Amino acid sequence: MTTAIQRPTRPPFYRDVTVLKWVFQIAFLIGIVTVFWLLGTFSIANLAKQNLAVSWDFMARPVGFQVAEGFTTFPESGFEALLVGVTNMLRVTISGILAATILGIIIGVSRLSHNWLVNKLATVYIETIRNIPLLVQIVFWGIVVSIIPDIVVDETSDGSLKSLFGLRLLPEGWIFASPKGFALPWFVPTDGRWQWVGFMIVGAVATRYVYRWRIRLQEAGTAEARAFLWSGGVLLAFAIVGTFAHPVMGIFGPVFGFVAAFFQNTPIIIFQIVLAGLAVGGAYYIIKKRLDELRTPAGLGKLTDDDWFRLVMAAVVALGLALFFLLQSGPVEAIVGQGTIFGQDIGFSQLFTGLENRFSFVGGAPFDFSLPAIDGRFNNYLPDAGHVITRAYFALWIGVVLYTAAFIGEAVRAGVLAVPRGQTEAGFAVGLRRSQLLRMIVLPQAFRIILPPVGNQYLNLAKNTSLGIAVAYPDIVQVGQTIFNQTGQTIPIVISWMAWYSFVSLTLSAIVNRWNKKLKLVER
Amino acid sequence: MADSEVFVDTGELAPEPPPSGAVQWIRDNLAYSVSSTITTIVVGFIVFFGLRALIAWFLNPFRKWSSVTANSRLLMVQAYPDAQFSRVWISVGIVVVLAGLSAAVWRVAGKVSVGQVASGLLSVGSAALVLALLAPGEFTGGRGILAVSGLAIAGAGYLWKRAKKASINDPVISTVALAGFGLVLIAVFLWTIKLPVQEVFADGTKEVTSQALANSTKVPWTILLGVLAASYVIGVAIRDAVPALRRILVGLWALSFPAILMVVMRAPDIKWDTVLSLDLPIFLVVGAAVGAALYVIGAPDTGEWKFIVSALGLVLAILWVLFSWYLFDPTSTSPFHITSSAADVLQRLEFKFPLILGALFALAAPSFGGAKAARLQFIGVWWAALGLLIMSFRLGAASSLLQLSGTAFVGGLALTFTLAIAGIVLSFPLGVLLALGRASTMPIVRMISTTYIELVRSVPLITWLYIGSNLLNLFLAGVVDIDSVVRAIIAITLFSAAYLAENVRGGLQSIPKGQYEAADAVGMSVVQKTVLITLPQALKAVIPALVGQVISLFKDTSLVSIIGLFDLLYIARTVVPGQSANLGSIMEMTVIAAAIYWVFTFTFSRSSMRLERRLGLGTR
Repeated sequence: MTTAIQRPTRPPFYRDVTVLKWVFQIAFLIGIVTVFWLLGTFSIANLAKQNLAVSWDFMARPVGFQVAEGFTTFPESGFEALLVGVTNMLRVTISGILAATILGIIIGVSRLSHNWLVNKLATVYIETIRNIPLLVQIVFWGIVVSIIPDIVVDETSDGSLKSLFGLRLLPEGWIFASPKGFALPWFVPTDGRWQWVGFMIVGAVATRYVYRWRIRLQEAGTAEARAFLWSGGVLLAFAIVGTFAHPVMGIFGPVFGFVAAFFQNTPIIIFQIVLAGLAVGGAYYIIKKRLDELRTPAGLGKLTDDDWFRLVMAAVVALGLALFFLLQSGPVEAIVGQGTIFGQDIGFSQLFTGLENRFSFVGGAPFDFSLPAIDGRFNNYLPDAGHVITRAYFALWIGVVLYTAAFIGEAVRAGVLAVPRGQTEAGFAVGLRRSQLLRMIVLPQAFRIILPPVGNQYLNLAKNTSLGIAVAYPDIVQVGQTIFNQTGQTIPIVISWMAWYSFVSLTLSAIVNRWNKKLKLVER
Repeated sequence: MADSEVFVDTGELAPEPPPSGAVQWIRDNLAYSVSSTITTIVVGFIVFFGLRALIAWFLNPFRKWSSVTANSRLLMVQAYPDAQFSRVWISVGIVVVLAGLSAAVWRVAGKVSVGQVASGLLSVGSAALVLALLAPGEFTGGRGILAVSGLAIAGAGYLWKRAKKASINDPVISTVALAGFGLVLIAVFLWTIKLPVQEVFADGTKEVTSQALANSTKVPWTILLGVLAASYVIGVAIRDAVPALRRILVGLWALSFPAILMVVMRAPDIKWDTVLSLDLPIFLVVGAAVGAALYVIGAPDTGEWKFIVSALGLVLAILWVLFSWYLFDPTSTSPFHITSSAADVLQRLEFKFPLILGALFALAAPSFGGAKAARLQFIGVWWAALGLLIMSFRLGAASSLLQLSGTAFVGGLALTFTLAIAGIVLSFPLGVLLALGRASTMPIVRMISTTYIELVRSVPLITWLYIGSNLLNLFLAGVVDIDSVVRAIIAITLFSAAYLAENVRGGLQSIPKGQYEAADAVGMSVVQKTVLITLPQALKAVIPALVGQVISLFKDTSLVSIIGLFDLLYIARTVVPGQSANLGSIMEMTVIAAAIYWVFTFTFSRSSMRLERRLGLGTR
C-alpha cells in the first residue's frame, strides 16, 4: 500500500539555498560591522588629535549660553538645555497639529464647495503653499514680523496694536505687535492648576462613560440621545465645578507621597528582579503568540529559518535585557529615582514627589487672567504678563500650520471624494438634509480613509519644526547645535537628536495606528 | 499629421453648460442659497482687500526690485567666472536641445479650439485688469502698464470669441503653433520691455536707469529660444525615420546631467598622457580579461565551479581593496593612506574598483548568460559599465581649470538643481537595494534595511545635513577631505534613499503573487526573478510616487542654506540683502526665491499629473 517516498538528496552545500542565504547574511553583517568599526576608529583617532574624547559630561555641566525662550532661559546644565529644546519643539508641534487640522479641514471642505469663489480661493491656497519650500515660507513669515511697525502699529503708541486697516479691534493695551513678536491677554496658570488638571482627568473619564451610556440608548433606538451634547455638558460642568472645588484633589497628595517613598526606599534589587522578569515575560509572550500563529490544526507548522531566527532573537534580546538589569544597578536606580542619570535627579520617585507638592490643597482659581505688558528697560515684552508669541515661534508656527494644512486639505478632499456616490444618494433618498448627510454618512466613512495620510502629515509637521533653526527658534536641533559648537561633542548630540526624533515618530505612529485599527472595517 | 491619434484633453467628458449669461452664472455658482450668498460676500471682501494689499505691495515705488534684476546671474549660478560663462550657456543649450527633441519624439503636441484660446486670453486679461483696478494710487508706472495690457488682452480675447461665435465651425489650432508664437513673443519682450535698474557709482550716488529685460543676456536667450524651436523641428523630421530615438533620448538625458556637471561646468583638467598610459591600459586589460571570463562563466554548460570561482573573486577583490594598505604597507594606518584630496584617493582606487565590478559581473553571469547572443550582450554591458566607471574616476580625479572663489563650482539655482538631481539619481540604486532588503526573506538583511529606513525617516533632514557636514569630516578626516557640497549630496542621498525604498516597497507589494509563482515555475533564479520580473513592474507602478519624491527633494534642497551652502535661498536671503546697494531688499529677494521655486515645482507637479494620466491610459 504505502510506497516509499523518495526523499530528495540534499544538494551540495554551495547550492543549498539556506546555507547560501546564511553565508551571505553573515558576510553582510561582518561587512556592516567592519564599516562602522572603521568609522569609529577613525573618529576616535581624529577626536584624539583635537584633544577630545566622546563624553556625555556636558549633560551635567553648566552651559554658558542663554536660550531665547522656553520654561527657563538660563539652563543649569546641558541636559536642561536640551530639555528646553524638547519642550519648545513639543509646544510648536502640539499647537501646530491642532491648528493645522482645523485649517486643513476647512480648506478640504472649501475645495469641495459649490461656491465658485470659495472653491477657487482654496485651490489657489493649496497650489501656492504646496509648491513653495517650507523653509522659504518660514523665513518669509519671520521677515513679515520683523517689518511690522511699518504696517500696523500706530506710530504714536507704545507698540500696542489698536487698529488693523482702520478697524478698532480691542481696548488699548490688549494686543501688542512689534518686530519682537506679539503679546496677547492670556490665562496664566497658578499653583492650583495641577489639582484642576487632576480634576479634569476625572471629568474626562466620567464624560467617556456618559458618552457610552447615551450611545447605548441611541442604539437601543429609544430616542435621539444627543451623545455629544450630553458628554460636552458633563465636561463643561466638571470644568466649572473644578474651578472652585479643585482643592478636593489634594487628598491625592499623600498618595503620591507614599508612592514616591516606595520608589525611594524599596531595595533596588527588587526593581531589578521585576524588570528582568518583565523582559523575560515579554519574550515568553511574544514567542508563544508567534508559535500559536504558526500552529496548524495538526500541530506545529514547519518553522522556516526566518521563524527560527525571530524566536531565537526574541529570546536572546530578552535574556540580554534581563542580565543587564540584574548586573547593572545604575540604570535601574536612575529610573526609579534612587540614582542620577547625566547628573540629573530624575526618576519615578522625583516625579511623584513633584506631584505630591502640587496636590497640596492649594485654593484659588487655577488660572489668572493677565494682560500683556512692556518691560521698558529692555524694550521687550514682560515674559510673565499675558502670553508672548515671539517672532521665531510665530514664524515657525504659522509656516508649518499653513504648509501642513494644505496637505491635510488635499487628504480630506480625497477622502470625501472616495466615499461612494451611492452613499450620498441613499442618504438623500431617506430624506436627510445636507448637513445631516455630511455628519452621519459621508464624514464617518471618509474619516477612515483620511486618517492614514493625515497621520503621516502630523509626523511631517513634527519633523518640520526642526526648520525653526532658520529663524533661531530654540528647539532641540538649535540648542544641540549650540552645544556642539561649544563643546565639540558632535556624536552625543547626534545620538540625542536621533533618540528624541525616533521617540516622537514611534509615539505618533503608534497613536495613529491605534486609531486606525479601531476605525478599520471589520471584514470577514 | 500623426498627431490625430494622440489623446487630447478637449474636455469632451464635461461639456460646458449651455450659455446662460452672467446673472445666471452668479446665481448658479455664487448665490445659490442664503448661506452661500453670505459666504460669497464675506470671502469676497477678504479676497478684495487681500489682493489690494498684495498688488499695492508689489507696485510700491519703495520696493527694491532692482536688487533682483541686478543680481539675476548671482541667483542662477553664483559667481561663475565671466571668461568661462559660455559654459553655462552651453549647459542650458544641451538641456534645451534635448527638451526640443523630446517634445517632438514624445508627441506632446495637441490641439485646442480657438474658443478655448480666446477664453484663456479673456480671463488672463481681465484678471490683470481687475488687479490693476484694485490697486490703490495713480494709474502710472506698473499699474498703468498692467491696466493697459490687461485691457488689450481681454479685448482681443473677447473680440476673437465673438468672431468665433459668428462662424459655424469651431476651428482648432495646434498647441505647437501657439507655443511657437509664445516663443517669438518672449524673444520680442526680451528686447523691448525695459526695467528700472539701479546703478551705484564709486562716489556713492545712485542712479536708476531703464534697461531691457535680461539686458546682458538677451542675445544668448534669443539664440536658445531659436535652438529650442529648431530642435523641435528636427525632432519632428527624424522621429519617424529613427525608431530607436526614444531610447536614445532617454540615454542622452541620463548622460546629460553628469556630462554638464563634470565636463561642461567643471572644466576638468584632463592630462591626456595619463589617460593613455593609465586609463586606457586598465580599461583594455581588465575589460578583456573579465570579458573572456564572463564568456566562459556565462556558458550554460559550465559546471558548478563557476559560482565558487566568481564568489572567491569577489571576496578577494574586496579584501584587496580594503586591506591592501595593511598587507603591503603595515606602517600605514588607513586604507587609503593619508591623503589630502578626494582626487588622490580616486587615483589610487582606479585599478581596484574595476576588479570589484568585474567580480560582481562574474557572479551575475550565470543569471544573464546562456546562448551566445545573450552572453555577448552581457559582455557589452560590462564594457560600458567599466568605461563609465573609469571615466568617472578620471573626471573626479582631474582638477578643475576654473579659478573660483569658493570650493563649489556652481551655486544659486544651478546648485539647487545639482543637489536635487544628484540626490535622486544616487539614491536610486541604494533605495532599490534597501527596498529589496526589506522585502527579502533573509532576516538579518531585512532587519538592517528596516532599521536604516525607519531611523532615517524618523529624523528630519536638517539633522542629517548637520551629521553630513560635521560627522563626515570627523569620520574621514586625514583620510579624505570631502567638499561641503559633496557632503550635502551624501547626506541628501542617504536620506532620500530611505524614502525611495518605501516607495519602491509599495510597488513590490503591488505585484500579484502569480508573477512570482510563474517565475519560479519557469525555473528562474532569485537574481533573474528580481531583475527581469519584479523590479520592472514595481518601478513602473511607482513612477508617480517617484516623481512626487523628486518634487519634494527639490523643495528640500533649500535646507542646505542653513548649513551655509550658496544655494538659491541662501543667496536670496543672505548674500544679496548684504550688498551695500541692496540693503533692505530681503523681503523682495525672498519673494522672488519663492516664486522661482514655485514655478519649477508647479511645472513638475503638472507634468507628473500628465505622466500619470498617460501611464494610466497605457495600462487600461
